[in-house]
Amino acid sequence: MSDKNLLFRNYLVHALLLILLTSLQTSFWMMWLGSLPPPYFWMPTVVYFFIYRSLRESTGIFYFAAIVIAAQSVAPTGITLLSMAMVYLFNDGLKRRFYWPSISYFVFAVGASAFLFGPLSLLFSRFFDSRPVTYIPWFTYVLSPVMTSLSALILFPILTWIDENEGIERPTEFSVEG
Amino acid sequence: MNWFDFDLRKLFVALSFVLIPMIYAIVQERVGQTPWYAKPVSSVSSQVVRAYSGFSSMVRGTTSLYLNLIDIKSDNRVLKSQNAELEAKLLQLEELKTENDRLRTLLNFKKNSVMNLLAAKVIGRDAVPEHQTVTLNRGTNHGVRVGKAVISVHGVVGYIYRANSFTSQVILVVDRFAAIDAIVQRSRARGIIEGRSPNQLRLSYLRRDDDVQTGDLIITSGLDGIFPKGFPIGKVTNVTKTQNDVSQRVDVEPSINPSYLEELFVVIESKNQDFEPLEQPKPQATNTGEPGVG
Repeated sequence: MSDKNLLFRNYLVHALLLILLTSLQTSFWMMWLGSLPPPYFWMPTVVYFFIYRSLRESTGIFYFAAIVIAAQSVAPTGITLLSMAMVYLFNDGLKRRFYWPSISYFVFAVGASAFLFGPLSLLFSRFFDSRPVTYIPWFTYVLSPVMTSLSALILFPILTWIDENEGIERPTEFSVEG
Repeated sequence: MNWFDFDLRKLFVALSFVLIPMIYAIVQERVGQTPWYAKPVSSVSSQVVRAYSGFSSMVRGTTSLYLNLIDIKSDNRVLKSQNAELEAKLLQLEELKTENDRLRTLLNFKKNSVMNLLAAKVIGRDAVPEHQTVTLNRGTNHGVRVGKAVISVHGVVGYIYRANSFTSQVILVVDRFAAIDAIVQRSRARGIIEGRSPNQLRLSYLRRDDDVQTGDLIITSGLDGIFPKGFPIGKVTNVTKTQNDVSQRVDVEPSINPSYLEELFVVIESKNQDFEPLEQPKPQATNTGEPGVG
């Protein structure tokens, strides 16, 4: 298979994984754990691209993630896009200053991004929404990022395994003690 | 100066990360409108949610079968201690009775209604925590359409804002994007109910001299073309009139609890049937629907 085809297949697998993970958050989690706030299961895939892939690929994944979220939410897509763009810029800055080659960095970056995502959505809602947020789910804003970090720990080997199978270079931290 | 000597990367970043998202946020699409590029993803997501729901039910079935087998085994052991067995059975009976009561209420509700109601099960929730929507296991193939009212035995739940072939999404009355035309049952004062938080609604656009009191029941007016007249929405918990305001602030407690929604009814055809609200206590951890909708 040519490099281009392999890369396309890789994008397709990641896109499908993103849909599966988002549905896991909105449907499966609710069925088994009721109203316990779910982790943002889509976040590790997006942050994985932000850290280990090019700018163009990162842009592609966050636009796609915004569409996937829009399909399962009433939240305005523009607000989601803006929040994700800011999360990307945050990750870019974080990587430039504090990057260390370890799985713990990935877990940290995912957790920090998840912590940022909620307040960013609130902030942009204040500026752009016709009906800004009137209720702040504090408990979810604290609990979800913690659980998202934990999910990153499980998802990192899966994401790297996908890349390895598609012939894409594995992030170095997979072999480094976290 | 070379006008063409600009950094393409910077232009790409500016476009993708600032301009497009900002334009999108400003020129906001209408709630419920699925843009053409999101339709394939929406369709795939809907199938995945449905698959998860099926898988979940299957796992639950297998688990309960396994648990039943364990029960049989433990029953043998329990023969030695008859007292414990009786206690366990009593608990089970109590649970069955609760379930039976719930299902009977729901069946009666559907039987007694002239409206054409479609029972549906909640199989998903919103991907963003600040929003209150649920996904139902019924879609356009079952007759669900955008704008149809969704109710429970306790009152208004919300309305369909997106419908796929096999699933549909409901914007709950407590979501900030939800708006329902409402009246105060006692005084017939008219306003718009808007979602504030999972346990608070607000009745807006009332006149300052409109008669509203704490404890008043708020019902649908039937003028929005979504809900037939008379469905209970909630009860007034607080009325505030400030000195210079032309209106008044009316807080309402919703008659549904969004955390405990499991089974609901989609009003397929209301047949111009007005609803006489029954005085019922606020639901606690009870379900609202009909059996066999999964």
